[in-house]
Amino acid sequence: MDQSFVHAALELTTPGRSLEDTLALDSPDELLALLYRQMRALAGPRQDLDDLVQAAAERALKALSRFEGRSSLSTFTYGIVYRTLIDQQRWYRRFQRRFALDAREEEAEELSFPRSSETDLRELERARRLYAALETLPHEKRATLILHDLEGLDVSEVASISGAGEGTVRSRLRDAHKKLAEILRQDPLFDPEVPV
Amino acid sequence: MSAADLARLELAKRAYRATEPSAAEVQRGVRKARLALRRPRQRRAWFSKTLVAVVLAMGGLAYAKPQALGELVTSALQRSKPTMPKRSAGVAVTPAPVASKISEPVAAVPAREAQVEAQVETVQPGVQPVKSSPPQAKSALRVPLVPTRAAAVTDTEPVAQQAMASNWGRVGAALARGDEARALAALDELADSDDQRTRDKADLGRAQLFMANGNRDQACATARSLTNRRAGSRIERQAQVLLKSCRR
Repeated sequence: MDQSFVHAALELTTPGRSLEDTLALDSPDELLALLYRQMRALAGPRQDLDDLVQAAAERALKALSRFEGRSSLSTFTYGIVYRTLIDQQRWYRRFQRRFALDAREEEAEELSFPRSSETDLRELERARRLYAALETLPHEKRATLILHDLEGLDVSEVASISGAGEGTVRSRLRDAHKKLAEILRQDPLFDPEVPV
Repeated sequence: MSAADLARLELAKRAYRATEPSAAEVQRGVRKARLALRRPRQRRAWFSKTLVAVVLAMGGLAYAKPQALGELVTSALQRSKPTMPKRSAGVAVTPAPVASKISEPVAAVPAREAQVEAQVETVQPGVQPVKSSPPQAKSALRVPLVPTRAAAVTDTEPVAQQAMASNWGRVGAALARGDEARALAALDELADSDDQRTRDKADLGRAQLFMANGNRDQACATARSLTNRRAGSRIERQAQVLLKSCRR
């Protein structure tokens, strides 16, 4: 993320300016793209991804004026995306508990990846199973594992995003690794001996 | 994690990267987000909240004190039209005695306060016909081609109203003279009235007089009956004040 974009974004979201005024300009596109990628990383390719991105974008555009530059803008927006997703998942869980008539309704929805080549099909299936395995983890642990292992952020950044201490992040990471390894061990598609 | 687990995790990372969103997918997502954010928002949340609050408040009031709502509306109407014609339907408004004219016959100070309250209440019925005057005033201004039922009712009303007003006048005059026995007798007559509100007010006056004379049991019984039958907010409030001294 280049520094000029950060400045542009900050200028756009001066306290007196409304969300509509900000959106009338072009620069938020880059911010929205960043939010989309981050939400897609944390939530996976799900049907309500657009709604989640919209919710995160609303929060981000309102919160940008409070961004002090102590962390990178990416970490700042990751934090917003993380909180939006956690809130949505909590709400959804409450909703399911109250209104779901059948336990099967809680099953993860079918993931759809826009890929077609034969080599990709194997990766596609692997990714599908990976997301299915990640779905079995608690929200915080899943997010920690994705941010650290799959997105390549370090522990301090993950701690800043999730609002937890570094010790907590390490603990969550350890638990998530353990659980994920258990699941992947039983999956032949993740057998390292099998040739790719 | 063992070496095999790390290798599995590497495979997982590769699969994850292989399914990362393409630039086209991101652009589509951005476009959707922009469109969604541009959508006009509902700004009427405050209106519906206020409406719900008002309906709940009015409903609660109507449930807890059915007569209070009527009183509220009447007082609001009266406040909005202060210069209402007072001679509607030929109702004679009897000038009620003012509290300052009362001599000092009662010994106890609380008793005097109670008497003053009773007098303040007695002033109300004299003015009361004015409250119901707006519809009558309207009908008086219009020339009806056919005598309506409302007009027939108003023909018979003045006699009863006059009698009632004269009763309240007697109560006021007796209290001004310090003749509590007569005041009580006049209140007893009013307590047999057909109008429930008149009965309630008369009972309140009686209760206050009983209390002033030290007849606490009777005063308390009368005040209790007033609160039990939910006799309007003001009357009930004053009955509650009397009941406080009953509990002592």
